[in-house]
Amino acid sequence: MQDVASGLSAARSEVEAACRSLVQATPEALTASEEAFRRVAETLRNGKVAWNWSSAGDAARAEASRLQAGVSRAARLVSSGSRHCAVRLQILSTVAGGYTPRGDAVSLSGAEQVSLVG
Amino acid sequence: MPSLISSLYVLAGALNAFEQAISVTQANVANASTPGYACQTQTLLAMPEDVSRGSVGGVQAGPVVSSRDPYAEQAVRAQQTALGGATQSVNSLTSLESLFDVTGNSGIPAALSSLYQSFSAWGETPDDGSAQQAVLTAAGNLASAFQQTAAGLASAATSADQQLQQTVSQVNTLVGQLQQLNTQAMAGGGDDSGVDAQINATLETLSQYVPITATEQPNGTYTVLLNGEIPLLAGTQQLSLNLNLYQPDNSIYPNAPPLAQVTDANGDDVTSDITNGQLGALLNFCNSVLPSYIGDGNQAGSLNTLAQQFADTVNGILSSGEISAASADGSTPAVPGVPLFTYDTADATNVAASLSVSPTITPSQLAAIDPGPPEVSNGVPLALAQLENPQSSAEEIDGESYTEAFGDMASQAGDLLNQATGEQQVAQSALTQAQNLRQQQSGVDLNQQAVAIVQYQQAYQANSEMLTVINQLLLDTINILEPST
Repeated sequence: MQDVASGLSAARSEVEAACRSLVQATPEALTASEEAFRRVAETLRNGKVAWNWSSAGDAARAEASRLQAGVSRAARLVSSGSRHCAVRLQILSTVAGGYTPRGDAVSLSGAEQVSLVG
Repeated sequence: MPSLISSLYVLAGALNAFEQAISVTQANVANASTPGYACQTQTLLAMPEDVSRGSVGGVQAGPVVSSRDPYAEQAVRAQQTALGGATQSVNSLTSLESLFDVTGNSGIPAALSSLYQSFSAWGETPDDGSAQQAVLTAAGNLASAFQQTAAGLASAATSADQQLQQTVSQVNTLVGQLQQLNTQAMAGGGDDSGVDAQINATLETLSQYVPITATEQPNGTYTVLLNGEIPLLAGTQQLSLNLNLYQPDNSIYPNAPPLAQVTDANGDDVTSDITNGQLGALLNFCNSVLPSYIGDGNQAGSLNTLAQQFADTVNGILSSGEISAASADGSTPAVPGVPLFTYDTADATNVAASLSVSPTITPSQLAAIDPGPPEVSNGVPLALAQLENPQSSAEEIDGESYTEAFGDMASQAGDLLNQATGEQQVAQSALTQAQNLRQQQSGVDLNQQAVAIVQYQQAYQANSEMLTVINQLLLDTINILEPST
């Protein structure tokens, strides 16, 4: 059976990798971070039966605490990115002319105006 | 059908418009690495074709549109402020780390431990001159350790005051540069992308020092507010900040280190509005962290309290003892003990810095006899050695021994540093994230941006849901790991 501390350590490595993806903030990186989080959840869920809990001691508790700190950091990154997008979308929607009855941004009208992206 | 001249006119207009578009493209390429530059777009306006009215159609150059997104800029500035504050906190608190050695191998805890040992040794041979001398030496070392720690904290305070002065000055300098750029922006009619780039680069630098919001005006100038409400720059009018070092009204300790106050151009106190950025972190360090140790107008500070209570307790025990007992027939009176430590009794915020061994005490004047009853020949040194493991609240500070009280001070400094280091790491990540998002979402049309942002939001939502699941699983794990009581 796997040692609890090493199982938690592996989960923490995944969370740290996910944090790096969150910082990159590209669509691909966000998908990668979600997959990493899914693996962490699987690891923790499976660990309940697969890990050797009888030998778990201070090292496992310390590792759990480190993992918790990593998850908190990830949550703050998700929160800041999400907040950024929410306000930005609100601004764009206003610029675009308000909202549809469903709450979506209204499309821009390009009447009598074409643009070249420089 | 348009005439030949009309056709040539249309063609010339189109060529002119496209030439301007190419110039904008060249400017974008040339400024790709210019700090603060935002991609520019040359709009082309379709002209109506109405022969009867002489309108020949074609295209003309419209206004140049910047892809700069005000919220993305503000988000980056907010993260710069958070990072500036966390980095400053780490730098300030790191300077305290060496003063609070938690290992107990140096500084005050080591000196305290040595003094307790010398009390124990003296208790075994109360009349031994070398044991008495060892007590005086260890007491002198403890007094020196208090003085050095107090001096280190005072030095940190002086350094922080200088940094405060420099930071306020730097803020005013940057706002002054923005004022000059605003003047240039007004002269250029608000469509000079070079000036706009310089303004935004300067705003980003300024945001490392203080929390600001910047709003672009129709004429291309920027209005800058401190914490969203206190004007620093409006058009070409700069409103400078000032730093004052002051003693609060009705100070209990008028000689204590001063507090720092920042005022706006009207002289109003805006210190409480500067909660973040380098300036906010420095103000917190000067007005909250350091006073908790070395005091201010209304508190003595934990280091001074510890020094005073320890010195008073030791002096009290020694003074209640006797150097020599009275003779049995009463012809020779007992010689009472004398205090070991002296300090500045007039200023409670100067106790640690002034703590020293009494210059008049000699080894033979250390009172070992506890007159009792019953009289104990080594009662005083035993009572002094017991201070390491206090038996009554009179020998404690808030329920703790003197060593533990110092440990609390050290761990408070350590906790603050750990917290600041964690915040610095998160702020650095969040800044990179905000900069990447700004970069990802610039230079595309609004519809594309809206679609992209919705996709981003969905991705963040999916991440958030997975984190909720992980949190719950982790709590279960921690509960299993908790030692059963």
